[in-house]
Amino acid sequence: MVREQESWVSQIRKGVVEVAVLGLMAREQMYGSQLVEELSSHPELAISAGTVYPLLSRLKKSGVIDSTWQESPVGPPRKYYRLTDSGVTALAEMTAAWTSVSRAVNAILLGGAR
Amino acid sequence: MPIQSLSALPREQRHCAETYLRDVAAALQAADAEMRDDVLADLESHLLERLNADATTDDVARLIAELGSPESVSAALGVRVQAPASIGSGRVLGIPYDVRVPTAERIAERLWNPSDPRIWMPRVFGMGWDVNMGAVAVRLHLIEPDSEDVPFTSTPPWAFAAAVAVPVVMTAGMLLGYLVLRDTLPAQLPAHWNAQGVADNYWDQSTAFGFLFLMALVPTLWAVWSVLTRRPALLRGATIGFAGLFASLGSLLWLLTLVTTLTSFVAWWVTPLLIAVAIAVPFGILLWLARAGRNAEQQRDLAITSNL
Repeated sequence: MVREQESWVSQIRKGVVEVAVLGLMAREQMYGSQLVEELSSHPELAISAGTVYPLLSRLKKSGVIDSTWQESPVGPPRKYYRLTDSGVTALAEMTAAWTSVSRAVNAILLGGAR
Repeated sequence: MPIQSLSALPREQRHCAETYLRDVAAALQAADAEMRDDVLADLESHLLERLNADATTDDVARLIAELGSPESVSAALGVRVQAPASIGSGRVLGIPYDVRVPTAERIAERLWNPSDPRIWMPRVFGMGWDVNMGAVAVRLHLIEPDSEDVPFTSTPPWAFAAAVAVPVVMTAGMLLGYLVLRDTLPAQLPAHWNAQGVADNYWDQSTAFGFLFLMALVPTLWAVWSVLTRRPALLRGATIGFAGLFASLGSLLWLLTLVTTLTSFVAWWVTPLLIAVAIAVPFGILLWLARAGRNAEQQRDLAITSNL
């Protein structure tokens, strides 16, 4: 049962990584190592640096994010990522789904009103 | 009133329910037998509980739709359905194998994939692992994991032409070396060297050269062809890297043949050096193509912002 719980937790995390990354980019455009840093400040998500970049290239391929190089005040140019129009829509849908699902689950777990 | 058994249902309704249970059983084929029997018993008692003896076919269909498709039942149980794409690849005793025809995407994904931090990747073709040189370049801080959107797609054509010149020059050099020295060379040439670098096996002059030359020539022609016909960037990068490996192996072995035949040169460090150079050449070529791609992306984007 312990193993099953662990795999359940890792599945939950896997599912929310995408919305977490898109959510960060919705606030402002970000470069790769900045995203990694932001995500590592949420250890409960347990997103390693190594999984962020493959995720970015997958999101970019599916057209929800876009990237451009920009000069950096310090050091070499940086590649910044931001949401595309379809990314904004996708994030809105994911946010709505997340909110309703978590509300329902919390209602069950915490015994709150429906 | 709940029914006691599916046989209490009218014929058509009963057939419907039984077919559903049979389909679920088939979908759960890979599951643990005890678990499968439990699930089937639960589903059947759910049907009995909710159906009356006068249930219509619509009632049965609605109830079955509520229960979910056989696939969703097996997914809920965590039964892994073998995807057809995985035929031809997998693991034996923990060692990965892949016998599918290599595609440019797969070659690039395994051999040059900076965004993936894994250095050891399942072998493109055969059994074992390949080195993800992109991840090595990232570890060495030579490029960033995301310095190109898709490897080599922004690399300009002139960079591919320059890169393919490396194996071309090496292969041409081999031929030149042969034509110039063929009369001074003995009829028998070394075919193998022992660990100390001493030749311990020989073959005909023309066989010795022909073998090494073809080893370099065939991949080089493939790379030249892919550059001239503007194949997809990933394929061009892969073929040039491949040609770099074999052209450097062939030309270094040919050089070793000439040196050990014409002089009394013997050294233990020749073999490790040869292997190191043969690996460094394709690595250098791929790194150079990647950096040319990064520069092109930067120039494109930074020119736009500076014009704003």
